[in-house]
Amino acid sequence: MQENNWFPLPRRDGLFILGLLLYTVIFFSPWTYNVMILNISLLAWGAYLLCILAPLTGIMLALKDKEANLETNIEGGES
Amino acid sequence: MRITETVIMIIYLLFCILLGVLSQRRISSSNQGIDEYYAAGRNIGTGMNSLAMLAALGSGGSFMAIVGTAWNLGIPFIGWMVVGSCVGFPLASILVARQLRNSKKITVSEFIEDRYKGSNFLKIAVPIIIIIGSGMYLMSQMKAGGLMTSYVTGLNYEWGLVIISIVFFLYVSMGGMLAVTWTNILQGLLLSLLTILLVVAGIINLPIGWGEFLKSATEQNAALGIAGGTVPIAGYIGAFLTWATAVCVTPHLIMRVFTASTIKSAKLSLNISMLIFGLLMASTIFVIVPYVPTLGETVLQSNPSDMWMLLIAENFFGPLLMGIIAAGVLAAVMSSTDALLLAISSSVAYDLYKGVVKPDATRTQILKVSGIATWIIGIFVMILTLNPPPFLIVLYTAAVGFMVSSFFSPIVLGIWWKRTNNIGAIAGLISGSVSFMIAFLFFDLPYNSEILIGLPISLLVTIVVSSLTEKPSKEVISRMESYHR
Repeated sequence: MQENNWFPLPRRDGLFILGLLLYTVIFFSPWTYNVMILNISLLAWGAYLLCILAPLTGIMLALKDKEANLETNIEGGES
Repeated sequence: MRITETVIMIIYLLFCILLGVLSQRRISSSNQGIDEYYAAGRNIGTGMNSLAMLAALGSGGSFMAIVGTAWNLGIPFIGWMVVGSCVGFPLASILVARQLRNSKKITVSEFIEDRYKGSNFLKIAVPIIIIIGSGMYLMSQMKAGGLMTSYVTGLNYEWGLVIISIVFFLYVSMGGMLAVTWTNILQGLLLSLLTILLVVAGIINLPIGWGEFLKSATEQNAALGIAGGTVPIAGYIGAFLTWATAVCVTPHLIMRVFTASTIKSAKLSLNISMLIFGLLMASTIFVIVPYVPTLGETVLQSNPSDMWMLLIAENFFGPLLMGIIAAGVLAAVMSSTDALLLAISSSVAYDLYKGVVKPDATRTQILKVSGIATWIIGIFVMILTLNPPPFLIVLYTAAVGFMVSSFFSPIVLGIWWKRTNNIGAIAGLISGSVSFMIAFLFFDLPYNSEILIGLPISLLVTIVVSSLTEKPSKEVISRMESYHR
């Protein structure tokens, strides 16, 4: 498989996906299962924290996407 | 009959039908016709589209049943299921939003057809999988709609289902995506406000400090906070993966990318809607779920768990607010149902009728077939829902998992990997859908974990088959480049 067979992913987006992967691997590791906060497993708290972190990061990435900023209204309907 | 609640609900339903009529008039007078019908003219702003996305995802399952389901399946399991969507929307904004918009195609099937031109198999298989998957999904939403109408009107479940289904069919067949978008915006707003109202009322009425209250709930339901207490961890990973990948390919969710006015707006809407969704879900779970034991064993035993949230709300509010809450919950059910109905009707009319049966069909003919398809398929699903099969939550998630296992490889690899060819996409689609169904029907796997088999098989088969067969032509690569521009 040659590297140029893939379209490049913007660096920020790639890091975001990598971060997500790392986050889920860390929280799905068995060490979180028995750590309890208010009788709720840390595994659960990890999920609810990500509910806020993931979209917030997504918003920041979208705002910093310069190409999308330059995008004008795309007219559909030609098909 | 609950008079106040019924009056409020009737006013709300009439308003939805009125929106359908107004949308139909706008479509009739528009030159854009099909684009106006399926993509709402591609001019919905960021804020409005966020609310519409929130409503399309915020189904009866997520808003109405979240409290009972969290109590029965545990807070950790529901947490990973909810966060799957919260991650799925940002992922979709990175992996598919720009490319789908740039393709200027109206439906998921049309995009796949554009990417894999000349494949008659995909032309027919894709809409059929969408119709089956969305139909299964639709069944669970219609059941929730029937239960809700029955709760408010006092009629039995069957009549509740028939009445609410007819309202759905009326405004979807008349107004298409424009009507769905307008009502979804209203529904998204209503859902957000009512959830906030419920959570605030829950906080005001706390009998003891919140931490102690939550702890007392976990003492009464030992499995509530324990990891793996109700569902094996593999089920958590499956639920998370299902929803994290679903948004990229599930037609009724990703169609919202087509309605946005710009790519930036589409990306922002995807993320803003999920931030609101995550906050609403998490606050409902942590504030309202601990109230479940206060209902008492008798009430819990005699009512379906989907109704527990409403029963808790009855302790906080009088009939007027309960009527508005009932309309809000109904909005959650309706917003998913109408988006699903539209995904099905577009598969029949646009993908199968125009794409395969009659390529030279006129705008009027396509819209007519779409309206007829909404009624025929809707009534068929409604009849099945009169006697719903057990384990609807399993079916509902399976429907999404089935679509992900089928479409994720052809769509996402088809966008990012230049080597993906028609044979590879077909092999990936068949292997993903068949292995998912075999795992679902014939193996006793943990709940929601079938996708852990179907999705990797589909990705692997697509890559191996594409690598071993002919490279896509320069024309195809150039088309892919136009998606990324």
